[in-house]
Amino acid sequence: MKKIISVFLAVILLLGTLQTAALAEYDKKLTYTVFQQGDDVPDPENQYRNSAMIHYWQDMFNIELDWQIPPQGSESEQMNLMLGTGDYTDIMDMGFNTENLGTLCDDGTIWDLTPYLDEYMPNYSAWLDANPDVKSALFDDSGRIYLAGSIQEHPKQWGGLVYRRDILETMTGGNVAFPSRNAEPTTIADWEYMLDLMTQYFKAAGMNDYAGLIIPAIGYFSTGELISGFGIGGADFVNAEGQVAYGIAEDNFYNYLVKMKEWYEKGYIYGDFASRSQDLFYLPNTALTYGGAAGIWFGLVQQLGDTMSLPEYGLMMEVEPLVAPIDTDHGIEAPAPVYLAANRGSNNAGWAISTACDEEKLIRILTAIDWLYTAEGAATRSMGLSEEQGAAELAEYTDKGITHGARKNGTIEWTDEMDAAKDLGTYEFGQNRLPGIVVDYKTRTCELNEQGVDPNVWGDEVWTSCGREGVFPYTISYTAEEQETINRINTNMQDYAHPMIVNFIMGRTELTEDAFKAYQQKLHDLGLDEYLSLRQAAYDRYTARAAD
Amino acid sequence: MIERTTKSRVVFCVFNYGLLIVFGFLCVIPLWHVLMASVSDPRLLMGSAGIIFAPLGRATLDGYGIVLSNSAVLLGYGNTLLYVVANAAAGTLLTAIAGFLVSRKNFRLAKPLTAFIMFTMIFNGGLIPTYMVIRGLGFINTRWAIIVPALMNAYYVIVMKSAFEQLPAAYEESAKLDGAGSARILFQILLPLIKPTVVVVFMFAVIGQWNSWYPASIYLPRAREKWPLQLIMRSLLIQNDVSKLLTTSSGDANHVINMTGNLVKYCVTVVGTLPILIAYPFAQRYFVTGITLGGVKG
Repeated sequence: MKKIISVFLAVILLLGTLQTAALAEYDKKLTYTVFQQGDDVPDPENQYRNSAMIHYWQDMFNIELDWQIPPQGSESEQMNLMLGTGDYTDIMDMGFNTENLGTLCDDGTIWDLTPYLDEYMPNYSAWLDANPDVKSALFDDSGRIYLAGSIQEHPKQWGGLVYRRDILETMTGGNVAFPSRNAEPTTIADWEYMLDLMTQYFKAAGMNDYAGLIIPAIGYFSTGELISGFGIGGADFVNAEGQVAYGIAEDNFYNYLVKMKEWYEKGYIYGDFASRSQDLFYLPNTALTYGGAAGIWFGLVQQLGDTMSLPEYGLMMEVEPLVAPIDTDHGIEAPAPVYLAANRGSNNAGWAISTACDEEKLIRILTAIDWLYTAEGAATRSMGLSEEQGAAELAEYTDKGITHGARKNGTIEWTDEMDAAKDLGTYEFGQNRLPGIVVDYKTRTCELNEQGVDPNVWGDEVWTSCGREGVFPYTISYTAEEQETINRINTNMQDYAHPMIVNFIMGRTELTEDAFKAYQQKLHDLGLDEYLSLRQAAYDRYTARAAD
Repeated sequence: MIERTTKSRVVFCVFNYGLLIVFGFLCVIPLWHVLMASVSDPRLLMGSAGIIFAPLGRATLDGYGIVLSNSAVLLGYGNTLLYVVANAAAGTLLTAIAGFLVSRKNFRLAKPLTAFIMFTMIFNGGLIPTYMVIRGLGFINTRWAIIVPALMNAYYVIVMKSAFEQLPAAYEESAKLDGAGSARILFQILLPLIKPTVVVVFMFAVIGQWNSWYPASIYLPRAREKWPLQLIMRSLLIQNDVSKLLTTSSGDANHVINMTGNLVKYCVTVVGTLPILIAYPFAQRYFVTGITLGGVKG
C-alpha cells in the first residue's frame, strides 16, 4: 500500500512539476508590435484593443499585441517605409507587401518559418499537410514558408453576374419562357430574350439612361464573368489541356467580341460603358443599378433578393444570381469556372515575423499562432468566446444581450443571440487577416438548422456552379525576375488590348477575322509567348508541390 | 470722379458680372451638392446621378449624428486645432524672425542664408531620409513630429523677407537712434507695418495645417489618438478603394455597399471643411495686400 501511495504521490509531484514548468514557460509577458491593415474594421484600434477574443488569446500565451494600423489608403506606402527604413514591427501583415518574400527573408527582414514549423506549429503543419492546395500556395519553390497564413476553410464567391428577375416577370405576366426551356437564362438565346424584354421595359418606363447589361470599361470581366460562356476562364486561366492561357488572346475571344458588338448595336449594352473607367467592377454605376435602370450587372451577394427595393417609392426589385450565357453555336457546353475567391490561402494574407523579434519571441508567437489552427482556436477566432470561455462575464457580450457567448458550449454552432446582435458588430471578434482558419460558422449553422437560404450560399452556389477546375491560382509564387517580366509584358499587352477591345465592341475598329488575327499577332509581338511560358513554369511548379 | 456710362461700358459690366456669377456658381455648386447629399436619404443617394440641388427623400441629419458621435472625429478635431494653433502662432513668429534676419543688409550671412533657404524650396531629402531624421530626433509617434517640421516654411520666409525689404530703412535707423534693440525694432516697429503679410502667412499656416494629413500618416503610425481630423476623414473617405478588396484573402466586398457609410462620407466632408470655409472670408481682405506688399518691388 505504501508503495502505491508513494508512486501515486510521485506521479502527482511529477505532474505538478511539469505544470509549473509549463506555466514558467509563459512567465514573462512578451509584447509584440503588429503592423496590421484594418480597412474592414470600422474602428480598428478600439476593435482590436477591446476584442474579448484577442484578450483571451493573449492571456493564454502571456503575450501582448501593440497594433500599428496604417491609415486607409496608405498601407502600401507604410509597408514600403518600414522595409525601407528598417523600422519594422515584430509582426507584419503582408497584405500590401509587394516584395518577394524569399528576397525579404534572404535580406534578413523576416524569419523563415520552415525550421520551426514541426516543433512549434504542429497544428499549422498538420493542416497544411492535409490541404495541399494551401500548402503549395504558401510554400515557395525553394521549399520555404514565411507566413502564418489566414486560410479560408470554404471561401464563398461574394459577387458575380446578377439580373433583375422582376422585369422578366412583369414583361411576361409571370410566364417567363426562355428559348432553352430552362428556368434560368442559360444560353445566348436566353440572354437575348432577356435583354430584349429588359430594353422594352426601360423604354416603356420612359427612362432615358438605362442599361440592359453593364460591362466594365475595358470591355470584359478579367475575372471571367461573361467571357466564361465563350470558353474563356478569365484574363489568365488553365485550359482543358492543362495549359495556361491568356483569355483575351484566345481564338474564342473573337466570338465574344462579335456577340458584344452585336449587343452593343442593339442597345443591350450600356452605351457609356467605356467612359466609366473609375467604376469598381463589382459596384458599377450605382445610379443605374440602385436607381432601377439596369438589367444585368456584376453584383454582390448583399444585392440578392429584394434588398435593393424601395417600396416607399414604388420601386420593387428582385435580383438573382446568374451564370454566363453558353455560346452553343460554337460548341461550348458549359461556362468555364470564374476566378474570384477560388483560393483558400495566399502568400499575401497572413503574418510574417520580422527579425526585430529574437528567437525566444519568435517561438512564443509561433506557439500562440498555432492555437488558431486548432478546431477550438478556429472557432474562437471566427466567432468569439463561448460561455465557458468567460463570455457571460464580459460586458462586450452582455451589453449586446449575448449571455451565452458567441457559440453554444461544446459546439461550433453560432448562437441565436449572436445572430440577433449582428448589427452591433458581433461579427468582428476575430478578423479575416488574423492568422488561423477562417470558418463561416454562421452559414454552417444556418445550413445545419435549415434556416432558409443565406444569400452568401445562394450566390456562391450559382456563381461557382461550373466548379473551380481550370481557375488560374493567383497565389502562385514567382521569382523576383519572373514577376518583373510578367508584370512588364502584361502591362504592355493590356495597354494595347484594352482600347482595341472597346473599339471592336463599339464599332470604331472594324471587327473581322483578319483584324482579330492582327490583334492576336500584336499580342505575340508584345511578348505573349514569354509571358505564357513563365506562367506555365510557375504553375507547373505549383501543381508539383501540391502533388508532393 | 464720376465715371461716364457708355454702351461699351454697360456691355463690359454685364459680361463681366455675368461671367463672375457663372464662375461663382461653379465654385458653389460642388459645395451645395455635398451639403444636400449629406442630408439625403442614403438609399436614394445610392441610386442618384448628377448634381443634387435639394435633399433626396426626407431630409435627415442621421449622418451628422453618426459623425459627431464618433469619438475619433471629435478627437481629430481637437488634435487639428492644437496643431493649427501651435503651427500658425509659433510658425508665424519664427518665420517673421527668419524673414527679418535675412532681409537685413548689414547682416553678412543674409545672402548665403537666403540661398540656403531657397535651395530647400527646390530640393528636399525625400521621404526615407526625412523619416530617419524625425526618428533620430525621437519624434516618431509624438506630436512634435507634426509641429516641429511645419514651423518653418521657406516660401513664407521669402514672402516675409520681401515685405521687410519694402519698408524704408529710415524706420529702423530712427529706432536705432532712439536706442531700440533688434527685438524691439522687429516686434514694435516693423511687424505692425507689415501686418497684412503677417496675417497672410498666419492664414496660409492655418489652412496648410488644417488640410494636412500626410505627415501624420507617416510619423504617427502607432498614435492614432494624435491623428488630425483630415487623416481620419481620409481613412473614412477612402474605404471603397478597390485595392483593399483585391488583396484580402476573403474578398468580402459587402462592406463597400454600406449605404449609411456613403452618407457619412458626405457628412464628414462638410464637418471637415466648414470651419475653414467660415474662417476664410474674415482674412480674405488681407490677402491681396499681404502678398503684393511682400512681392512687388518699386
